[in-house]
Amino acid sequence: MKLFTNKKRKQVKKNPQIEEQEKKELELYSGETLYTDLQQNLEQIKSTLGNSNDIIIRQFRIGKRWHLDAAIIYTDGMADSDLITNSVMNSFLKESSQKNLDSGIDENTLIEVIKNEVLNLVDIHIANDWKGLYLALLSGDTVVLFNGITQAITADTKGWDARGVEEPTTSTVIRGPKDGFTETFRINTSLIRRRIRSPKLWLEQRKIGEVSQTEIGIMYIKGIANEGVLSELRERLDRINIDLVLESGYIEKFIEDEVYSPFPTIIYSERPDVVVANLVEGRIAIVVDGTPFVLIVPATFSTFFQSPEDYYQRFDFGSFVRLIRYLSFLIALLVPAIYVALTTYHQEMIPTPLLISLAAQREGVPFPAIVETVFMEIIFEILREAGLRMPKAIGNAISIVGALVIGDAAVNAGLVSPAIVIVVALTAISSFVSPAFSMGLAVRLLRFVAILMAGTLGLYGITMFLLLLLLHLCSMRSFGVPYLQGIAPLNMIEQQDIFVRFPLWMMKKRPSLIAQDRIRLGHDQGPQKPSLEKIWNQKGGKDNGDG
Amino acid sequence: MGKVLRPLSIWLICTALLSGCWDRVELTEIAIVIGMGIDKSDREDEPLHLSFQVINAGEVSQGGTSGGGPGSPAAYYEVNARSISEGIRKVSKEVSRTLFFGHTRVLVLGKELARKGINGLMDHFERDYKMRTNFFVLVADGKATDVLKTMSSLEKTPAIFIDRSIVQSERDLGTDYGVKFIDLMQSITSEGMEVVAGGIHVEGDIKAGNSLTNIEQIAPASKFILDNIAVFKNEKLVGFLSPYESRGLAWVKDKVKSTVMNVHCGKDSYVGIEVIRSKTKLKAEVKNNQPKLLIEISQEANISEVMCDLDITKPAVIHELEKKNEEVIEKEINKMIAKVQKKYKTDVIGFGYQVHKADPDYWRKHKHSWREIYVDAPVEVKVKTRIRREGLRNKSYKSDIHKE
Repeated sequence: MKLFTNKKRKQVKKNPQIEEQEKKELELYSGETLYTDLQQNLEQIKSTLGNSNDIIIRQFRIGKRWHLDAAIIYTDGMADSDLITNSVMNSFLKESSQKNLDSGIDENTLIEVIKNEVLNLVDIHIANDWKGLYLALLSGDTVVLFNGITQAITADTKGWDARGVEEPTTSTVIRGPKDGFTETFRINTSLIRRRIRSPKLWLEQRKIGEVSQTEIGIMYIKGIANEGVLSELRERLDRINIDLVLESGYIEKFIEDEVYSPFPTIIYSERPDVVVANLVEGRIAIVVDGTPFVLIVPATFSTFFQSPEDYYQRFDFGSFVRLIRYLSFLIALLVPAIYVALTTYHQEMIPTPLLISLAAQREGVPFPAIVETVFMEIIFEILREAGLRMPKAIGNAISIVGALVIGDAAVNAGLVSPAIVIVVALTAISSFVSPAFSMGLAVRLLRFVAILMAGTLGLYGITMFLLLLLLHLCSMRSFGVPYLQGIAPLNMIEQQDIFVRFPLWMMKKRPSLIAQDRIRLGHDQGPQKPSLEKIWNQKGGKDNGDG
Repeated sequence: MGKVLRPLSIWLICTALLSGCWDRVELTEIAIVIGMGIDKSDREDEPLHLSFQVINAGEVSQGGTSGGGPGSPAAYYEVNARSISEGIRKVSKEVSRTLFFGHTRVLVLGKELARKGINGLMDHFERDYKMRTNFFVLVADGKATDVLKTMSSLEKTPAIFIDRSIVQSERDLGTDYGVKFIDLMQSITSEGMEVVAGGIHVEGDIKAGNSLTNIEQIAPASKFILDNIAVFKNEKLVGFLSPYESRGLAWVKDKVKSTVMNVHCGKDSYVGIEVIRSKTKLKAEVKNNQPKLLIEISQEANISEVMCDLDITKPAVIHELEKKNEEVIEKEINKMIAKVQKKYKTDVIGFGYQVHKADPDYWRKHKHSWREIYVDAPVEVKVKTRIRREGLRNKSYKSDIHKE
């Protein structure tokens, strides 16, 4: 009996007529060719873009006898105006005077000459229709139009003020690289490629968002990434028909497997090293322009508990920290529920001295334990949300209010018992331990379910809750990979990197079902301690030889 | 939707109908019964007199939010009843909360009641799911109510004090041992074993002991003494053993964790031998229709005190001490056996149980007459002591004194 699976996503059937119309609207400019007359083209651009101020049009004449009318158009702020002045304008006004480019010249010859002999820029394309022209223009490229020619040359002059590569704010490490992704697509892909100098690192690019035309890149390592997952991902991405993509979260919502689940099935990361490590394990990264968060698929449960630092520190500590993370996951999920269950149903399970002091604390508290717990948990959630959204300058006020009013005054006023403050504090701290924020969100939601179950059915309710949770987790998949891969179905080799982390030289294989090529290491990679003789004899031999 | 709703509704119905935990009760609604006593009442129609010691949590804990002057850490309630379960419900007339038995530590039986027999009384404690079976059963040499009414310091309530001191004295002194309810039931139901229970009595001014002032003075007016083991025959109390006899029984039952034995080494001077490990093996054999019990004890010990001039660096002296210690223990056990065999005529050591194990045929034939056979059956005690260490010095300082 599958309770929460939602394998078959129902496709809502649209009225075919409306669909057709929508498509038409969205693809308004594709296929429409340019006019031959330059002025007409310029007028068209102006009217299409509503005379927007930031579209700069500069007309000039080129050729030996300055007979050919031309114009460059670019978007101010998105194109590098220095580059345009120094390269584009310079080459047209100086270089073109050497060429015979009078009006009446054959269209293709002209384009060839300009491309090959005049423009001293690297990335040059030809736009044949209005769609390509607008796309290039609005991406920061410079468009060059010539009178009498129905093709436009687009030169890559993208250059705008972007945030530099900085340390990621969401996941910091003590040891490890400190660079993080930025909002610029190209910087992000370069941060990944800088770490993998292999021709096998492939980048597929596409544009999603009919209005926003956002750049999306699929990065994977050919040969390691699973082709099945890859084609499934392509299919899912191609299905997306949306107007705007602001953040990778937009893409995530369309391609994730489990919509009705608190658990994330896609990892996101702000760290290039995380993305690269996952790529080499056979996963696929989706880079979205405009956001520093790169998506990684497929994601399994255990990947949300892995921090890059596990691998940078020594394996014993890495394993210890990882166990702590799983423990704090359970604490954050269950401690308030267990508190409620024990104090309202199973008082005999609490050690006598603790029961006495709990009972003493509860004297005079007017609410049942479950109301008290839910009340405090909600207050904590409010505090956390307020702390996040408030201007930093006022942030301190929140902590004072939280600590004094909630922690101390509520207890003194007899609204809540001191024990519940400890319980809430413990769960709060534990819920921050997860290296993946999205897993922390799942725990925050499920905690309330657990509290309600404990409040109505006691430990029996908690057991039911855990069973359902387990069933749910077992039924989930991320791009065809079981969510609990390695745990259920159990895979002893993958256990090397789930609850603990084995030394790197012992992890010989990449995770199954994710990587195609599973061999990670050569044989006998373990550190080998040479005998003392080996070291001393070499040195000694030299000495002897000299002597 | 049917695909989701059907299993979900099945699950909801199952959780609602199959669960046994609808008895939600808040901590502020329960009164934690920490000690319980049963006495024989003066009335004919209600022969049981039940007493309850209930924790007054607000007073006990430092962290309590309800203030007020110093009150008693425990409250005491009593009621006459025909049965235990009736008594538990009847007492709700006096208490504002539901009695909660999950943390009951001690059950004290009055001497008079125990003499009459405890046979049927224990059923409720086994039957009721609210009861745990790991509390200590004690027999008061007097009234159970007097025990539950006496104040004590150090622990949070008197019942916890009793519970802790049973555990502590079992661990350190070894002269008595705690009998938990579950052990008691085991010996009631097993063949060839009579019941024992821990003994307790209140020494001093019982009236003064009831007041909080009892714990405000350095030497309390009355205090608990847990020294004597109560011996039953046919589930009826027949008497108490003295402290050393109690230890004799503890040796046989393999309950001694650690104790100190005294071996004579001169006039009024002793060598203290600290037993740190002890293992008892009971073995019965039937020869010529004559059952015989062999008690073998092997133990390790340290020397903890030497009051006379003894050269304990010499192995011979150590051997001598070992021998003497064995004799002391053997004597202690034999004294106890003589008492329970000849005086009380009750098989508390589990002789019959061992015979049953050793020779089932013989047992089947003779189990009905076992009580008569037991009285004259021989018991042999063999103790083997090994002294391992002698502490931080070897010879006593007495041997360094060279005064003539």
